[in-house]
Amino acid sequence: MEPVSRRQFFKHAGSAAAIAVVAGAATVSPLGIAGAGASKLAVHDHEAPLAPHEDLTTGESLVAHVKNSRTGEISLFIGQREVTFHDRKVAARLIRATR
Amino acid sequence: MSSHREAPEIAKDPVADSTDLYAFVSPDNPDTVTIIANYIPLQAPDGGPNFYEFGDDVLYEINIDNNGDGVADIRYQFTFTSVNTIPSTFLYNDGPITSLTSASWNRRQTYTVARVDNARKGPVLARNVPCPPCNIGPLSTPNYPALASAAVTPLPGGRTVFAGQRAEAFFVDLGAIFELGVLRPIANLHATFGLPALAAMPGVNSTAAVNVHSIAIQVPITDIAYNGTAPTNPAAPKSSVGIWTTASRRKARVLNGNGDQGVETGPYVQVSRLGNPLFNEVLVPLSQKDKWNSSYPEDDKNFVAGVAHPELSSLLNVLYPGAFPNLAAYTAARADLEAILLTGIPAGVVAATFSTFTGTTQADMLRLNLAIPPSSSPNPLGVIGGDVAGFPNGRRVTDDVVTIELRALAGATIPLVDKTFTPDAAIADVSDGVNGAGLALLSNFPYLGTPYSGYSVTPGTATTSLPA
Repeated sequence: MEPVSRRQFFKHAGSAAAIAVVAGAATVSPLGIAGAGASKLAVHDHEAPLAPHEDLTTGESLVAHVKNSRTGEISLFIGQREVTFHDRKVAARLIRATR
Repeated sequence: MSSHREAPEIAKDPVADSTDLYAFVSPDNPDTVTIIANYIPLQAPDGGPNFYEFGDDVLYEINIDNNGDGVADIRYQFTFTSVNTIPSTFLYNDGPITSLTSASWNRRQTYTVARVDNARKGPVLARNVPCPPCNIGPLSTPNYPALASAAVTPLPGGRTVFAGQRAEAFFVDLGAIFELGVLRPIANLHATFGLPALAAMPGVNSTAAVNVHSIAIQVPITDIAYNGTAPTNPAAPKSSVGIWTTASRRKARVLNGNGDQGVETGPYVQVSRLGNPLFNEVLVPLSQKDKWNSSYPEDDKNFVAGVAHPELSSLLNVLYPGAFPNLAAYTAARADLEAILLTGIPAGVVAATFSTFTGTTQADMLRLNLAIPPSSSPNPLGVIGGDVAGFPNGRRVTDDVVTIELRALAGATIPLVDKTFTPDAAIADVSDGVNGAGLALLSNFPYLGTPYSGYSVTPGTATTSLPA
């Protein structure tokens, strides 16, 4: 997958399920996910800069899996954790970024 | 096989493929239990230049349930790391490997071992523990037993560990059994579907002269016993523990396309497990085998049907017409197999002082009664051979689990739960005809024999004198 800037990342929209791979802080949306099922990703704050404590640890990667575009179910894999949340707008933007 | 390549998906992932599990009270150290978990099946010893090794991306676990709920109370975890120490060579080694620190040994592997509870909390017991090299030949590994012995590592708490290549000790006639249930010693009785008759002949050990990779750990009985207390009464509740192995991979993997390992992230998910030998192999339908591998013993009620009404039992009288009339007439659920494999055998069924019962939770676990001492003269047929220190009370390396389970499936153990049943006379002949691995075992930990070297084997033993 081609590298996608944060602006490009949120520029598109779509409807099919997809797997999105995001590696490194430069291409990661500012997700502040607290836990499974809790979406704290609001449309209006997607451009907010990452605070140092929110950034990925050096060498760490985050993988996002859009499981269901209709419900916006997205799983994030980071470290040894899986965090699942629901946000149809984010799912749509991820899918559009692949088009 | 016991569990070699037993499910479609895991057959494609050999480094995570649990092949055999052994658990027994150590014969030379009876205050301890030895547990051996084998992986990477059917290794051709000459399979270089990249000889076999554990998966750096696999979490290997030996799981212990000591309160009968089918949930692990104790886990021994193993994770591996491989390195190349001589970047310029294409060889595994560029000279004799005379020690575990030999400069001529290029491709090495070490591991971390931890003991954790069900929440995966607990101490790391050791880091950077060396594996021995694979057995290459008389020039590369001139004193292999010494190399392997040097890799036997003491751990805190009176524990001992070893991880590395060993000779395959499991024995079975795969070429016959998966040829529509042929048992060579009675092949002349096989129905053969109207095709030309087969001749009776001795069994052929399909796993002869191949190697496996073993994770072996010897721990004090108190390390795995309920409440940390070594039981003394074999009939008492909680004297038996359930043991199974698992292999897990990270949930997400992204390949970078540059030859590195890529990105692996997320929680570990189970891709392989093994408790009783042949459980997934023989009792679980092919369509369910990978699901079984990813499920947990506590949920094995979902697979009870294959135990209560085993397909192979119903096939025996079809494949060997007229040989098993009593078995064919027996239509009740196989409570004997459910007890042996899923709950353990309650006290008083085999003998007043014998039990492997762990509770009513139906879970495929290899059950070991910690209060039963090792036998001074082991019988490979274990409990059905009158030796209560053998399978299905744990499993020793020399136990003939194929014959034991074939005979159990043929009805030999029904009288344990139904005194009115008379086993068919043909049961005495039920065997794949392979009675041992034909190799030298060690008398002490890790017990499994020296692996076959690549230089020592002569491939190409298929014979055209047998029917094609």
